[in-house]
Formats: sequence, structure tokens, C-alpha cells
Amino acid sequence: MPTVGALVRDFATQDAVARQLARVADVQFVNSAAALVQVGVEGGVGAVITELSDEAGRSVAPMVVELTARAPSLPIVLYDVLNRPAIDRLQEILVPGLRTEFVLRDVEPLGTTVRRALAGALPPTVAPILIERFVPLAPLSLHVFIAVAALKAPSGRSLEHLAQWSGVARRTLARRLAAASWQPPSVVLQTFRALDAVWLMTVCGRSARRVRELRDLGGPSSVGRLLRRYLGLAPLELRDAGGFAAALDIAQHAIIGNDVNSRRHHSLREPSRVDHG
Amino acid sequence: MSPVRFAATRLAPVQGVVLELIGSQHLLVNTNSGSRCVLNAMGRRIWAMLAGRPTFPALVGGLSGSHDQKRGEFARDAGRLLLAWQKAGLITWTS
Repeated sequence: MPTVGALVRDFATQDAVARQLARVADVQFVNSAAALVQVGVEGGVGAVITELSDEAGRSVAPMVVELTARAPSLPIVLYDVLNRPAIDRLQEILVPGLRTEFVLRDVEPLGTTVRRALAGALPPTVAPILIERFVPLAPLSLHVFIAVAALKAPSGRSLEHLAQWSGVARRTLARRLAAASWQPPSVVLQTFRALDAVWLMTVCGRSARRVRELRDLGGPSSVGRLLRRYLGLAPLELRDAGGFAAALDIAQHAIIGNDVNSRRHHSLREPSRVDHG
Repeated sequence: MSPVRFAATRLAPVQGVVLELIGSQHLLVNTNSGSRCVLNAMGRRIWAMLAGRPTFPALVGGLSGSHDQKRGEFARDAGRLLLAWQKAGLITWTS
């Protein structure tokens, strides 16, 4: 059985990790970021798992950079809760194009991701680009859902799961999105899936067939259908239109419409009002 | 958990490190310890960006520009360089 290194601080979480990985890998728990780098670089582990902060409560950003430099092919699985501060921390760690995956602690099964990491089947992640682009455009109450959707759209998980993982009922989510004049949650999710497919094809050089296999998208024309339906263009048309950058613009327009910036700052421009009853 | 300690996610030059041009070579020199490092083209670009105290993803984004397909490659190369600079006492992680 392969071994993974893990920097997970409290015993209950260590137990949960060991239990979830019992049939996947042996887990070598370490007690510091430096020790995790050491086991990662020495080559005895097939992947590493870490929370967003190290043994002293510092960000693991420096550790991730060191692992990226010294063990470039080692998959890194970030394992933590996802709330608004964690979204900021993630943006300071995740680099698009690297094989780093985020697993939501306490809700998402860890074994599936670690198994894929060990098999070398973690494709480069587009999530940081989606988070950077779409989270600031959403009302605060939707930040966690948008981040979860960006991180997990490629996994094919159902909207029900993602809403639950965001801590919001599906109905509430739909109501909040409608109030912000966004498209329904299912459209947001599918558009993110389409963007992930475009990213893999145009930026990472995967064929449509490979993307279909990687993302378990179904029949032979599933990628084309996904792109046409949610981005309005076929794969070849998208390449001609400007590739991934164009797809991002199309997606933003499709999900939120044109008036984003004015709506985003509208509340700031509203004059103070004093009611003289 | 101290938010200040957690926030050490930005890269910055160590105080007392200067860029010197000697002949056609660009050198980073730590005036306190005397350690020095010759910069290549990528090193010069990264050093210029450090004035803005970027996060690592922001630095990689700035390096790769519109070449999205090379971000992973840039991340690994920049990571190696930053690690060497950190060990030489030329840069530090800060908030």
C-alpha cells in the first residue's frame, strides 16, 4: 500500500483521516511543516495532505512553495474547512496549473481525492481562476457557495451536495442567487464545469475525449454539448474566439450579465438617508 | 491563532538587500551578511515584482501573463529561485 504524509494537527482529525484512508494508503502523520517537506522531498510518500495552517498556526503557503520547487511532481491535498477567511487563505496558496486539490474537511470524502492523487490522475486545477473572478462579484452570503462550486464543479458532485457543503439549503441558495440577479445555482455549476473543460482543452492541451474521461462527462459529444449549452460556442469556435480568456468573459456575462460593476458598487453609491418621521 | 502570524503569505526583500549592476551582471547583495546572488532574466523580473509584496500565486500570475499554459512551469521555476533566495537571506515571508 502506498504511503501519504499528513500534517493534521488535532487527534480527532487524525483519526478521521486514518479511517478514511484505511483502504487507500498508509498515513505518516508529521508534526511540522518542515517534517512534511522532508518526507515529501525524500520520496517515500506518494502525496501529502495538509491543513491550511501549520503547527504554529502560520499559513502553509511557504511550505507549498517549497514542495512545488523541491518535489514538483508530488500531489498536494489541502484538507480543511471552507469559510470566508479560508477562501482568502486559499487564494494565497493555490496556483492554477499545479496538481493541488482542496478537500472540504468533515463533509467531503478524502479517500477519493487521495486515490486519484496517488494514481497521478489529478489534473491541474482551474479553481483559483474561477474563485478570483467570480467570488468578488457575488454577495457575501454567496461567497462560500461560489468557492465550493469553483473548487468542486469538476468533480461532478450534485448541486445538492455542494449546497450542503456550503452550509446553505438549496432553496435558500436559489433565492439568494436570484436576489443578486445571478442565474440559478445549477446554471452556475454547469458553467463552471464548462470552464473547467475549456481550461483543460485550451490551456492544458487535453483532447475533448480525454476531458470527457477525466471528468466522467458521459457520451462522446458531451463536452461539445456542455460548451454549446453554457458558453454558446463549440470547442473549435471557442479556440477561435480567444480560448479560455474569452470563455471566462462569456461565462461571466451568462451568469451575471453586463451590469456587474455598477451593481457591485451600487450600494456604496446610495446616498445616506435620514427618515424624518 | 494569531492572524498576524497566519498572514505571513507575502514575499518581500529582506531589509538591507540591494540590487547592484556590475558590468552586465545584475547582483542581489545582502549588505548585512555579504551574501550575493547573480540574477538571470527571470530573477530580475521576480525581484522587480517583490516591491509589491505579492503572494506566490500573484507572482506566478504576473510572470506568466497571458501564457496560462505555462503557469505550472513558471510556478516551479519561480519556487526554486525563491527558495534559493530565502536560504541566502535575501527574501522573507511577511504579512
